[in-house]
Amino acid sequence: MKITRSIFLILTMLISCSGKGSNLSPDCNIDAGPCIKSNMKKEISFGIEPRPVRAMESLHFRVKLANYKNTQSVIVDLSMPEMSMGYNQVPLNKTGINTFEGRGIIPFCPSGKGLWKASVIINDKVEERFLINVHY
Amino acid sequence: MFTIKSVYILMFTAGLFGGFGHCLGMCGPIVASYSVALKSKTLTPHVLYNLGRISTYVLLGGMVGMTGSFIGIAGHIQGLQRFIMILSGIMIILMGLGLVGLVPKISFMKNRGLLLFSFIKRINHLSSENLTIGSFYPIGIFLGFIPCGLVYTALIAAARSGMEAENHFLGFFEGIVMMLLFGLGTMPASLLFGKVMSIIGEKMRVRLYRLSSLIMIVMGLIFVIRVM
Repeated sequence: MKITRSIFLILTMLISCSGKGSNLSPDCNIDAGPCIKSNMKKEISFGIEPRPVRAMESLHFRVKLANYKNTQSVIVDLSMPEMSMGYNQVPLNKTGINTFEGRGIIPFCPSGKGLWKASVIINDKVEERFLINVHY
Repeated sequence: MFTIKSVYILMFTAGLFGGFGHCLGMCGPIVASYSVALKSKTLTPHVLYNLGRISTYVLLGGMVGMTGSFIGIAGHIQGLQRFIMILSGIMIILMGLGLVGLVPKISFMKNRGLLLFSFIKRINHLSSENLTIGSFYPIGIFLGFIPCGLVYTALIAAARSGMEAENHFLGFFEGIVMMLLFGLGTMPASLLFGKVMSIIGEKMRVRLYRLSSLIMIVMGLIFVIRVM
């Protein structure tokens, strides 16, 4: 029983300080320019300015859509793929034909891991996910 | 995007789920370090520590809500946060050393009037089970400033709500309510973890001290290295 408790304690404390391991890596280089993903005939271009993309700065998000019809709302949901980071959603405004823009902030994570997931939500449905690297 | 009420629910649930998945990663070592040596069997010290932490969140929430700017406030407190994180790391290391009685061995500094000795003595006092219950609230306030991505996200939401508020006062109030709900959401995880650590610490005091001392020293080093 005591051994079980010891193992539980060690595991709990080690998990507390280590975070989860993972082989995930960015699927596009957001620092080089907008990332583009297509599915069937639909296409989403996702870009962030200024570059390189840094945490704790006011960032300009731009989404361009191709072959999407009746787009009512576009939101960028920012999260970390390995850790719960709460709700950080950037609502985008229509600024041109099939172009949506808005401002948001990516917070700094003291774990040092800079891998973030930006999910593009169109009409309340997640259409595409971009794994990007953010500089701290 | 969200109605007022849905934002409140989101803030609470973000704290609740983030508390188990995220906060234990950052605050777990701190909670563990004070809980293991805790003599009190009640939840009071844990509640006071958490109320202190939430007080800091509420203060920051009011500030970002009133100004409607997260960057403005975060930029000002970033230096303070780094300092607190380094200090927390050093505290955890010293408490780890204190657990196995290593800190008194450096008491040759005692009569030299060194500030460092006074600091170490106080930390040793913490790890010597002499901490009064009243100390936990200010400790919580102090450690509430530790940089945390989940708290930043909550503050960004509070700033956004403040920006959309009709005036600064309503923005201030909005920020306070949002961060209060977020903080309350994080409490169950922290309380549960603290209580479990206290119970385990009480049952296995001697054996555990050596083990947890080593882990705490490593954790403290990680805290300091993360900021560097």
